[in-house]
Amino acid sequence: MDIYLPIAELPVNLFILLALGLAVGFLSGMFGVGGGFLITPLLIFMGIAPPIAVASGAAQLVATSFSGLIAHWRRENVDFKMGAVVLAGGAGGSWLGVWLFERLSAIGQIDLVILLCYIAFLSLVGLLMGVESLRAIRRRARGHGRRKAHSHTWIHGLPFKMRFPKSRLYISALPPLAIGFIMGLMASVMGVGGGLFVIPAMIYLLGMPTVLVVGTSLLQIAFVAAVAAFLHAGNNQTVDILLVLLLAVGSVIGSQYGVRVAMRLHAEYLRVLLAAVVLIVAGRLIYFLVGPLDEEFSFTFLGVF
Amino acid sequence: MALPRASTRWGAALLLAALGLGWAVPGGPAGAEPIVSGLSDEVIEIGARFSGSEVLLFGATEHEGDIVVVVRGPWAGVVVRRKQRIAGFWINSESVGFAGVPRYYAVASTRPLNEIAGPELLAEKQIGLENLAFQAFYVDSAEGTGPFRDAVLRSEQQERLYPAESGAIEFLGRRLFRVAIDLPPKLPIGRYDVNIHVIEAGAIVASQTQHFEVRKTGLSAQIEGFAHNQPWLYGLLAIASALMAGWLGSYFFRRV
Repeated sequence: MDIYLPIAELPVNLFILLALGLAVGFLSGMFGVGGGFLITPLLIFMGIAPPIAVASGAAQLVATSFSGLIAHWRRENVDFKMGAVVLAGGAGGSWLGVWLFERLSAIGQIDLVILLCYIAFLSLVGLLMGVESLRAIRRRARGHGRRKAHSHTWIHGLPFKMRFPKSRLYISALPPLAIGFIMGLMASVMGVGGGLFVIPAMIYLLGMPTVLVVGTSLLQIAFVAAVAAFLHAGNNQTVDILLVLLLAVGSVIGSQYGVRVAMRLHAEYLRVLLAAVVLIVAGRLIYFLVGPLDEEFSFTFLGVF
Repeated sequence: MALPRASTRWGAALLLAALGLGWAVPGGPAGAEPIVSGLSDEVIEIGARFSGSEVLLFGATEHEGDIVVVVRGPWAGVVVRRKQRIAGFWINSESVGFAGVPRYYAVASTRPLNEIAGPELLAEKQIGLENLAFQAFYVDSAEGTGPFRDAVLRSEQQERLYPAESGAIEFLGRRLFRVAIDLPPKLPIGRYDVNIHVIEAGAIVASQTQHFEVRKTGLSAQIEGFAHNQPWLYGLLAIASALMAGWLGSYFFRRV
């Protein structure tokens, strides 16, 4: 059954949208990432104009991540103070990102920059996460279960120290601010919530307890995505609310099942799986950049002339 | 083809009108007798369930000549970018901007176009895809605008917005004709022109233009109107409903 999207101005199959939402929501609930890195390219692939895909994808992330956030909130697995510091950095990053986006659009290279960012970022995260989690699995198989909560590195020698009682950390405010800054930059340029970056950064750079990381990351994603969707709707009128709600129905349900599957799997196996998904997406994008081209030309319609 | 009831009624009404007017209306300016024509719909409404449609053009003419119908509109500008392999990567390099590009273009004729009129007339009236003229408002290309224009034609054809070959004109009796204009699912919003030409011995002897408008209706129109008239409020509402959806999901699944 087809349904006409009022802002995207094209009919799409209702069941494809619901299935897409379910799949992305499932991954999101399972891994604690927003799934923006999957949904935005898939919407563009369905023929939805990139600005509308990015803006509506962001609004959809609000629904999925909020549903996950509530689940973690109820279990008290969210560090709101840490979240606030990271978000303060995020505001700066978003501002720079919006400016960069405009400059790059003007010279016609924005798609290349977005693609290169995606590839570099997904390959790096996928490889790091894959190697780390495979090591953890091997370590567990050999029976060396115990590990230090976190190791002291140069990060802990920085000034402006703050206490984060929930995470039991006493660290400089600079690394969380920097993480937020990069996350904001990614959200505005790439149209993703940044969960894929924030989660490893909070575990490995800040040394936060893993149990708090997913919930706190969902807090960031919900907030950043809400701000992005609001700005896109206000400035460009590119949020298609019908598209958002149809995707949200699937993704909210999917994320609940994802959370349940995640609870039955070991954290290391989850990370190996996520690394595999991320590397597959990165591989597809690399192929897109260097492989044979199906369409040499791209079009930007300028409205009625 | 089974016609919808409304269209059949229209057809009958037009047939009567055409026969009446065809005799009653005297010749217009020298050598150009009026064509009598009408569209089954002057407004195409796009609602939540729109997935393509069809408009019927009915007409009658006293002339013996060939009939050519051109449908085009709404006009837009387009920037076409071409990717080139640089150091192994596909990178946008050359680009051309066109103005006056119709988002929809279709031709129907009684015979193949090249048998009806000479290339000069077809080019002047922009009849046939190869005669569709775009004005380039900037060119950054070593090969000129040709490949870029072809790319636009190809892409619009893929969306069924430029039906590739001229459609058929169906005669109902000797003088009354009918053309079915196919409107695909990704139909752009705006005003469309329908030009009807009667061509005799390679020259146009009569012309007429009809219009129809494609617009959103019902919920689609309301959502779009809201998004454009109160964008910030719309943004807040979009976020609020996303939060609501997230909350509902976690509420209903809490005890599953």
